[in-house]
Amino acid sequence: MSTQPGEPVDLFVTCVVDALMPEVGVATVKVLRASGCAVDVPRGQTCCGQPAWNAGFVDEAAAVASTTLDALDANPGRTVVVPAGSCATMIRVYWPTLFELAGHPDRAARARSVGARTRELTEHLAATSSAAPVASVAGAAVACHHGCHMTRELHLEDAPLEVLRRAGLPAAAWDGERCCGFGGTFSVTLPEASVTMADQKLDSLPAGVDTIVGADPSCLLQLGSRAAARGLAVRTRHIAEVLADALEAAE
Amino acid sequence: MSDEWPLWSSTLRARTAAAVGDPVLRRNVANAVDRFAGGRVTALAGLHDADELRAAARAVRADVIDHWAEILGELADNVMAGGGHVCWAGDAAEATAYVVDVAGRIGARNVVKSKSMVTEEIDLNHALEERGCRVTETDLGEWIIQLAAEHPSHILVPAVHRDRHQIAEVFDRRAGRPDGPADPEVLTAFARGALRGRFLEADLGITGVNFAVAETGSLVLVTNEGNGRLVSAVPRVHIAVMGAERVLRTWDQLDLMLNLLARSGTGQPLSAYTSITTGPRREGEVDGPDELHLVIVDNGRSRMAGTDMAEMLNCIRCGACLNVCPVYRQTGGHAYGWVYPGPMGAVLIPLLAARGPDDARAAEASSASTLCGACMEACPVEIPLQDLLLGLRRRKAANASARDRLVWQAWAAAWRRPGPYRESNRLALRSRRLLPLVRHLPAGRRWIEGRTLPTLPTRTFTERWEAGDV
Amino acid sequence: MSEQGDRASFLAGIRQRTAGPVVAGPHPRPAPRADAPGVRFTVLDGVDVDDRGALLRCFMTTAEAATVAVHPTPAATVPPELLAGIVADHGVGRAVLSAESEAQGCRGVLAALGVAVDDHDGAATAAAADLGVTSAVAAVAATGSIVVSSAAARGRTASLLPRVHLCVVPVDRLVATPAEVLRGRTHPPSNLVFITGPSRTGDIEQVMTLGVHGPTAVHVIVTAAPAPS
Repeated sequence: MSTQPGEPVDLFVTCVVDALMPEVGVATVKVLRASGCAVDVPRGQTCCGQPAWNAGFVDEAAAVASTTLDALDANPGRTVVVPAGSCATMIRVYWPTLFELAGHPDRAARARSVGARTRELTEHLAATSSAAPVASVAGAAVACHHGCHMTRELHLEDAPLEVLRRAGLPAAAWDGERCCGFGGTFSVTLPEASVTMADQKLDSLPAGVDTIVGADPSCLLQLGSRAAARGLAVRTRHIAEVLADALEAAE
Repeated sequence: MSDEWPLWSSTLRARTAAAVGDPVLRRNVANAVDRFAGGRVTALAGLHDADELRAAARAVRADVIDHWAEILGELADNVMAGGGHVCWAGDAAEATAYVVDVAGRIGARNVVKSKSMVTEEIDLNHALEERGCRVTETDLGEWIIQLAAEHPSHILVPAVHRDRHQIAEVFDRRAGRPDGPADPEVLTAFARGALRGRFLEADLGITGVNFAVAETGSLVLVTNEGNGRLVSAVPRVHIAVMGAERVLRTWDQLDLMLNLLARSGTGQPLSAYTSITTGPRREGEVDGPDELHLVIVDNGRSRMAGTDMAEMLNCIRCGACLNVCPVYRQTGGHAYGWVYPGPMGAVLIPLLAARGPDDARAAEASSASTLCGACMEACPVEIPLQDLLLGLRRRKAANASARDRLVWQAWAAAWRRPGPYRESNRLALRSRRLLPLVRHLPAGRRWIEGRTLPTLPTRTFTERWEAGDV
Repeated sequence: MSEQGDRASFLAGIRQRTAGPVVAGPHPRPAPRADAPGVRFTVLDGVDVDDRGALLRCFMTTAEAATVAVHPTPAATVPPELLAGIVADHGVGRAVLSAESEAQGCRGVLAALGVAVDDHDGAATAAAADLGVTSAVAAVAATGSIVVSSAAARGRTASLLPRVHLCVVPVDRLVATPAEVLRGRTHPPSNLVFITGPSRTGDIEQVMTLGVHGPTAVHVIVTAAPAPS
């Protein structure tokens, strides 16, 4: 389905953005509005349930996901935009299975229709094209990290790169596809391995890159917090923030 | 062997932490897997519609497993019609007992083996050695680790964790190599010379089986070194030990699988030797074994059939998943604690190595993954490894301790209602000054070690939105 | 031919696992199929597989990539100078010949070169030789492989134990793909082996080393097809 520019969209802000990176949510709203969409944030949304799902706790994941399902179902037919690749994947790819396993086939059916109208942010922007800002953001040399779910489940490697390109920010060539090592509970179950995987990514950055951009807040948190601990001169920014900056620069 | 397998005296975390702290190991493993992974991409580009072939291979393996009993019966009948002997081994004990029995009957003193993961699974060498046989692993990597009394850390390159100097050291100290450079060619030439005699004087040769083709009772061995061929051609008796699921119905299916196997695992169109054996030596032939035995090993595999884990039976042990796994790349194989490492290990360890449904050590292995999905993308038979890992985590969660379950139940209780969800976030941010206390929670400590959290925001997004500030 | 262990209970254990209702995950199993689709190789793109010359050129490319030296000759038998080159390059003092006529046909030339020649009569003889000569039942253009049959060669180790393997194969045994050797094979020999290059390992630091347990070098002489008799 395609969204016409100007149609209102529902924002599922996600728990990580809500609590830890609200500025990403703010930037997302700004970018969506600039592309001509009115933005609504359906009340009652909480979390997509992924943390418990990945840990194998189905009932608990389904309970939480149900709440968000109800919230996102408030405006049937409306596009749901998610500034997090892994959460968009959870909704579109895993919710039907989650609800089936939890014994709620009716919710699985509703999840399928919500999933069909759910878009990760850059996926949405790339598709609703013309309104994307085109401006140069001087100074930053960026590399793009591609979250695993977004790449392998949603097949969205091109969308973030396209969106960055239009913003006058072509990303440096980097093996951006390798897992950052977050993996949800993996980061606390096998923390040494998790940190080592983050190090491998950080050490492989091309020279001169000072910003890692991505569409997955959890990945950015993982890489950013490790870079900070090592005192590296590289920061992480969500694509929404980078685009919002470009908008400001153009104003 | 230095440590009993499975390595259950240690935790997954302890082994993983030790591994990532070893820069030599990590460099060696990364070199190996990157080369193989790159080779795979190039080699598969040599096939038209490789993804369709993988999908077809998945469907073919599914058909085989759907008719598993019938096909195994056909295999056994045809092996015997061709002059071979068959043993149905329900478990490791039955398999090793049979092999030891044959060895005893023929008076075998010297046994040569080519690489076989299933024989590691059943600890066959140990059983033979206890009966007084000298067992020589002839795959170069396997010989190295045999000398070093270690376990393999990659199914294709078992000694990947050792560099040339470490290998030279093993040869010098344990194989009587005269002083010489630690050069791969020199080391390999030494191994060739040292092992040649073992092949020629062996009474018994033991191999694994890559594929068994039921319609003719044929056994396929895929190798690069030539040791598999020597082990199955020179000694008077050849025993092939096979995981029960490694069967195909037809030669047509074999054609498909062979074209995917080496390309996926090592990046070669075919390995140096794809050897297809049908029965022992025939009248007029000057070499080849007089006796051929096939040991069909279950050891927990049949329990997977008909369950949500059944597709793991598709596995052709090519190693492609190991070569793309970002976790394995940092830890190597020993961290997983058993015969099979990487993504295949994360699935097989809970299924085959568990000593009971409550074996927490075996269940741990499904945590050795970030669920990134690279393995699924690489698997030539499209095993849905990520789905299998999630399924194993669900089984583990069903056996979770009361305390672990409580954590998730509390989380769900709070976050299934919008009010408590928003409150809990708001409170978390308000208590920012208490953040350092997170160190005292086990999970909190583990997150903070090695990471510096960003400054917490003052308000949640929801708060700002509802205040009209967005 | 004996059978041990309990077939009935082994197979019953498998049979009685009827597929229960399994929730299809996001990557559901496709419909099972017993037929295997054919494999097509990009290296054969644009190659007229009915043209022996084209097939030979393709085989030379793929074989070379597998570190095999291919020597085509328009002659029906092995030219002496070709054999002399191989003998000299590898310092061959002793050779073992397997049973195929193409291998046996090298005896005279080898003897004339001063090489001690044995018929392959077992592993010991092969182990004592520097050069092993066999033919092949097929040479596969898509992969650069030669296929040796224990029925034709009457043995297995002539192509395995000596440090040099020479395969003499007439050009009419060239095929395009492994399928032509594998598919529809109902009566295989005791051993059929696809040899794709010399013995090799990357076990030591991924450095490719040739000649681990098998030959260090593989030569293939492709002769003209024999005249129809």
